[in-house]
Amino acid sequence: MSWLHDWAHASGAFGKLSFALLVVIAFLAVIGLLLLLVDRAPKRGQEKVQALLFLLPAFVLIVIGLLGPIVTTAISSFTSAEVRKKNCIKTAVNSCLQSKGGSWTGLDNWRWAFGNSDVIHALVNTLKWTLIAPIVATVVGLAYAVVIDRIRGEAFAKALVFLPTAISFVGASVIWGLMYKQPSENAPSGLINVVLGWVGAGPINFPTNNSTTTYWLIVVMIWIQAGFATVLLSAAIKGVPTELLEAARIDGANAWQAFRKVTIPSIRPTLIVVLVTISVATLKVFDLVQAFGANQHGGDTLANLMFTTWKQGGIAVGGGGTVGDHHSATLAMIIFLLVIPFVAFQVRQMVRTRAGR
Amino acid sequence: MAEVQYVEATRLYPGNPVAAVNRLNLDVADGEFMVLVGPSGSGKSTALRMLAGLEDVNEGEIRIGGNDVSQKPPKDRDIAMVFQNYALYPHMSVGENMGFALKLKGVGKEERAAKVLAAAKLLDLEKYLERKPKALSGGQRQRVAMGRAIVREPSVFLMDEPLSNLDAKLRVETRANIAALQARLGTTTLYVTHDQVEAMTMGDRVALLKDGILQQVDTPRNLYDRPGNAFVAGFIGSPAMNLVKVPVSDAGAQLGNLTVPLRAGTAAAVRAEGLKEIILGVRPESFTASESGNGLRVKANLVEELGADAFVYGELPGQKTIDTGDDGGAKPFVVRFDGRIPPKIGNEISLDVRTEETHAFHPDSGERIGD
Repeated sequence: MSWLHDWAHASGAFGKLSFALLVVIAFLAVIGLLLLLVDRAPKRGQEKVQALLFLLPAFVLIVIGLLGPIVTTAISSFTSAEVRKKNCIKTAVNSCLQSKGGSWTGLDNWRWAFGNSDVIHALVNTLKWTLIAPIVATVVGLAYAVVIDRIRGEAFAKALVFLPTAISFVGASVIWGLMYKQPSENAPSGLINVVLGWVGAGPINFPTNNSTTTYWLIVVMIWIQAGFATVLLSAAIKGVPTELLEAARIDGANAWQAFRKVTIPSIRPTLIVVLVTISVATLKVFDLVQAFGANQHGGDTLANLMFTTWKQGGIAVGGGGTVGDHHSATLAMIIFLLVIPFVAFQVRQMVRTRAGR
Repeated sequence: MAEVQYVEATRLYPGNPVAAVNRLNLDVADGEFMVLVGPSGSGKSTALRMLAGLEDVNEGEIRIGGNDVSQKPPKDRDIAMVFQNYALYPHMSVGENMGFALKLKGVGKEERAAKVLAAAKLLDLEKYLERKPKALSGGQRQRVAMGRAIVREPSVFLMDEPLSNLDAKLRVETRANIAALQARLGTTTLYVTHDQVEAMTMGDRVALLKDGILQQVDTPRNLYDRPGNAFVAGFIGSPAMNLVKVPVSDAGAQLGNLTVPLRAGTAAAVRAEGLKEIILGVRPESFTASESGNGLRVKANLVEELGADAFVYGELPGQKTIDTGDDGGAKPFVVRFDGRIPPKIGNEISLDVRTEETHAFHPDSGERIGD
């Protein structure tokens, strides 16, 4: 099979293209074979066979790409690559660790996680994110959606607020980094500090003030997610039958009561989707923290800590080498466990909505 | 309890020079069941929504119980409305739906529950008070919508085609129930429909609209017997009245091969105006099979047998039946026959006309001529 390997890594354009063609043909051949099998399946239970065959590729990919990593990460969180050499006496230069293999360490990694002040700090920050960002972004998005509903230039207003959603988190970090900038000897102040200067306040060192760093990053997150919330909620608001609101008006409801008692309950499923989606995004927030370097300023989050732990990773085994202590896998599992309730809640809501409540 | 008055009430939509409701004058007496009927686009729903406060009154005014409410919000008008799609709040139970208005008004929990229960009893809904609208049948939802209106004990009920989402059989039942309920409660009611059968069977009086203009207001009987113009004549009655533009002479109107003598008043009016043509209206049931055989000759193209009646769709040689509806195309000439002796398709039939039941309309304006 080495010729295949050589071909796949061919340097010439012809080699690359012809290999790509081969892959496409192979793909089509597999599909063709599947379809043929489906066609040849006995008439009895043919639908079941069809369903199974068509589900197979997705199932395989889910197992390889999703379930597999979850299981191996879960296992990793209870193991360490650290294996002690037998009959070795630990000294300053000899840690007695060998670089290969792994061993069960029980709850050691988890004990480390909940005993480590950095992890606890990141966990608290992550909870701040999850408590503030989704609710504020949703409320802002909802308010904006209501305000722009049926005004002239609604599409433009919506596009404007949706733009940040299309920007990558790193791009958003750069933009807000400029806005938050502190005045220094060789650079002018950022927009916000300039404005604060006009009213005689500031300058504030926003993302490097250890006690408030997290909040200034959350502002960026809200800026990004409010557009997403607006677009979804605006569509949901338009889906509320006009007759319902008219009935509420005739029943004596003022605008706020009609909104509170009729519109909000009607768009509840969408509200939940928006809240859960933003919550999950904030639980996983990493890029903003990384791009701002906020972990240096008390703004670390679990996802970012997982990354930096993995990057630095491991236990010195002497000679400059390290083996993984699998601490990052434990952090990954903590995030995973935090996400589960949100997703479970949403799935339950979806099932309930479909069942007609 | 209150009377309702439209005084020159007009609704103009921005960007449209034609008024959706054009200088409507209509008095609805206290406790009356008034039906607004007309084809689509006639402005009947708009007129109702103006009364509800869901549409602006651009000119003129609308009074409820003598007070001008044109500029008041819906909640200050003391009205309740039943919508075509019922507009029940999907997230509230039947009981909550019915009690919502009272809750907003700040009525106490117990009083509210009592009123809801009373209305539910009236409509046979007690068993469903805890259910969500989704779990109800179409007829039950319709009753909940009625209940929501009744609970409030308003001075006027507004109903916007409340039966159009029900199947035919249920519609007939509910029609009778609503009429009976209204009679019992004695609440002034405005009822919008496009169905002239509903209009005829339910209303104390019927107001017929077309293109935003009121055509005629009268009791169903009078609308049927003395339509004020050709449009009303063609709209009320099913199958519709045959309207034929015919030449007229001193002897009478020339319908096909038959000269139909006009009533004295009509003939005098035609003479006074010097008309050479009129639109002659004859309802399908104003014909009888001719015993002499010298009657109006009509070729039967189609025969519909309905059991008690048989409707013959035919054509008059050389004359066209006018359609006052919106498509304006030619319509067949319709004759009602006794269901037991239907003519054969393709045969020519000979008919006598009961001349005292004919109607004459002006050939240009369509207005009724004479008495």
